[in-house]
Amino acid sequence: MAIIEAIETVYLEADVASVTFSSLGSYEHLQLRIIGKTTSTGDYYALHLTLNGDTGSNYSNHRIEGYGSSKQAYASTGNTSIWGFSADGSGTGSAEYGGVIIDILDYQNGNKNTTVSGIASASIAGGAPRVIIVSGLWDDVAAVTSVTVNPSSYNLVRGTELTLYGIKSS
Amino acid sequence: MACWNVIEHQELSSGASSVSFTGISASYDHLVLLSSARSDEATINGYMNFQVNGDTGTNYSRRSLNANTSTIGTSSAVNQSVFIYQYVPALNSLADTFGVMETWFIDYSNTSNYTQILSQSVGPNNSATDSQWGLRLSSGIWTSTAAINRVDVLCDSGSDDFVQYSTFTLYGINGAG
Repeated sequence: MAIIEAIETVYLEADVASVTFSSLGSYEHLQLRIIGKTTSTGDYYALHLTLNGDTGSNYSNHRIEGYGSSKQAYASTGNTSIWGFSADGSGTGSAEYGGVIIDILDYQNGNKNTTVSGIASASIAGGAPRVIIVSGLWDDVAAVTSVTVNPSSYNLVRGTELTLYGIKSS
Repeated sequence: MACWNVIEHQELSSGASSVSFTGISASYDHLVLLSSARSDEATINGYMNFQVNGDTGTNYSRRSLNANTSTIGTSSAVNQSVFIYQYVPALNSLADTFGVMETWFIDYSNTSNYTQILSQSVGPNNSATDSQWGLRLSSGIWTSTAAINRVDVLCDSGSDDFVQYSTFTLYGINGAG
């Protein structure tokens, strides 16, 4: 019996504003893996994560970011998404996409706000290489029934691939 | 052969100062612990630690990259009686908020080398104020070549409790062949 199962893979044949996973199945944890690029003209751009279609100011974000020889941590609350999972922008080479892995633990537990942990990289071969660790909080104890990824006002470009995995606990 | 295998899943029905996984088979290549936990300590950021094989001696060392302000810091400690000091939200953080932690015990049954662990934790909170949130990436070493057959997860150093609904899932990871 497989403990990790691919719930759904989305490969973009054309640019889109967002991708939503809405059939999450019944697992203990979820993991979302993305190889992504956006239409932002810069070297990178943040991907945003919303849960259950909630676009209210119910999210908090904290992250560690290393870029070039610099490093800094950031904190913000009252956000309309969990963000900071940077993907490449279209300012990088056509073959260069950013990598993102996001863990969403206990997503069906109605006694917990949903919290996520993720790592991301962007523009590693480009002009502004970044590596990022992200902490995200959705201030809602509802079971997660959908996960949406978008790059805010930009699009995800053709060739971006997203796979959602379910991880069992028995 | 399945690559990932569930060794044991525990969800707390009431507070507990520690969670133990015992009788761990040596038949896997690696162990992974995923936890969604919260502490009852009267602070904002609590801590989660480990001991293995019941070893309470000063045989654990660690190095961490962490942030709970805008400045990223590093820290290290050697010859400790626990490792790895990962963040968990505590009593004074946002209610119902649990931390996310993933820890790998690499080659845990190899008796030629000391056991290395890699761990990432986040202590989420609805605050941007310094020290009211935290992220940490840590490496640790247990200076013993014994195969790990037991993992104890401690709330702080066993002085506080993980709260109800905290979950801990230990996976065994197979290699090829």
